[in-house]
Amino acid sequence: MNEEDFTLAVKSTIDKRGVDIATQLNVSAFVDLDDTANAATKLQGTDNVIVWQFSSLDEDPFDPLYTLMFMVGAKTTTDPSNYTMMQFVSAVKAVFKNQTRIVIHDYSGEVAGLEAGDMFIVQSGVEQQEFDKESGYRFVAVVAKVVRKAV
Amino acid sequence: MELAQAIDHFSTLSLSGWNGTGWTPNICKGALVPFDRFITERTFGQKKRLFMTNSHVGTLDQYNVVYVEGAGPYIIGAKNVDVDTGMAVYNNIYLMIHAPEMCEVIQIDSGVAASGAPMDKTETVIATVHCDRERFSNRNAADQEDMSFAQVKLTLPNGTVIGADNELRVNGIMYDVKDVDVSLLTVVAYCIKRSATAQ
Repeated sequence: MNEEDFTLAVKSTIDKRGVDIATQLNVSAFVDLDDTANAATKLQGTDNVIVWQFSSLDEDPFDPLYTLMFMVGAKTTTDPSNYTMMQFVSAVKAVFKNQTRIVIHDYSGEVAGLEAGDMFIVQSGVEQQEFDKESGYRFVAVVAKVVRKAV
Repeated sequence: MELAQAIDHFSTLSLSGWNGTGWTPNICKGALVPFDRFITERTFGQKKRLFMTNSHVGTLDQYNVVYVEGAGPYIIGAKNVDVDTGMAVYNNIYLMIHAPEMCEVIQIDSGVAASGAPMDKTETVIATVHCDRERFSNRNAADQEDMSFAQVKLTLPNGTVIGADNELRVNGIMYDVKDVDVSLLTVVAYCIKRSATAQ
């Protein structure tokens, strides 16, 4: 995959994993917090959702080697003791576990593209809880080393 | 009975009602009361009117939008009844809100990418209704200090359904719906304007 399209492939690969988590947990949606067109309607509702945010993808030291950082977690609304949230966060952390290798494809089209690279997770930790009105959020902060494949 | 006769005496104005595609004439006779200028907002012109009609002459209950000849379309905002000591309704008073513009309710649909995330939006007009549009504030952008977004209140007829995936378009301008509230007999959408055009 060429360098210009690689960021999209990385982003869509995290989307794919997140949607899989949401489906597995029977959660209504997997929401990209930077998707301003769709995020608000999902976040303002009372449904539980899996949320994520793409933080950075930096050449390290230069292409085809990268360091990737993103946050992925859960938002719940009516959740005594935050047990539902912790169940979701545990499921998220299991998928993005330290030392996990995830193959990168471009999933942004109607069909998945060829293998575009690998991400290898080197750090995965549960962050402190945040609040927005009636909803609580908690994220897993993930750091991964990424290699782009030239083909 | 004397009260009803008094209402009858003033009921000379005939209204037309919006049937979804056009105006049905002579749906009801009544009168616009002269003191209604004191209940409207302090905006240019008179936005709100009060229309009274004798209950046995007719009601506007079947209509959400009416047309006053020489004044234009109005949304029915609320209904109050006047009751005499015998518990008989002798007068219906309707609050009417001037609604000179048409608003399109647009359904936004997305396809699904291989990742499972939404992609490629399509727009479909699912309803066209009368509306009153009022810009009431602006909101500064979160990141750009020099930029602000107009906040607009759109008042729509009773029964207008605005879903979570809907946007509104008035005179070609798109409005992103932030909140929807039902106020008396109207549906009120609080929106942010999507472009920096002059309207």
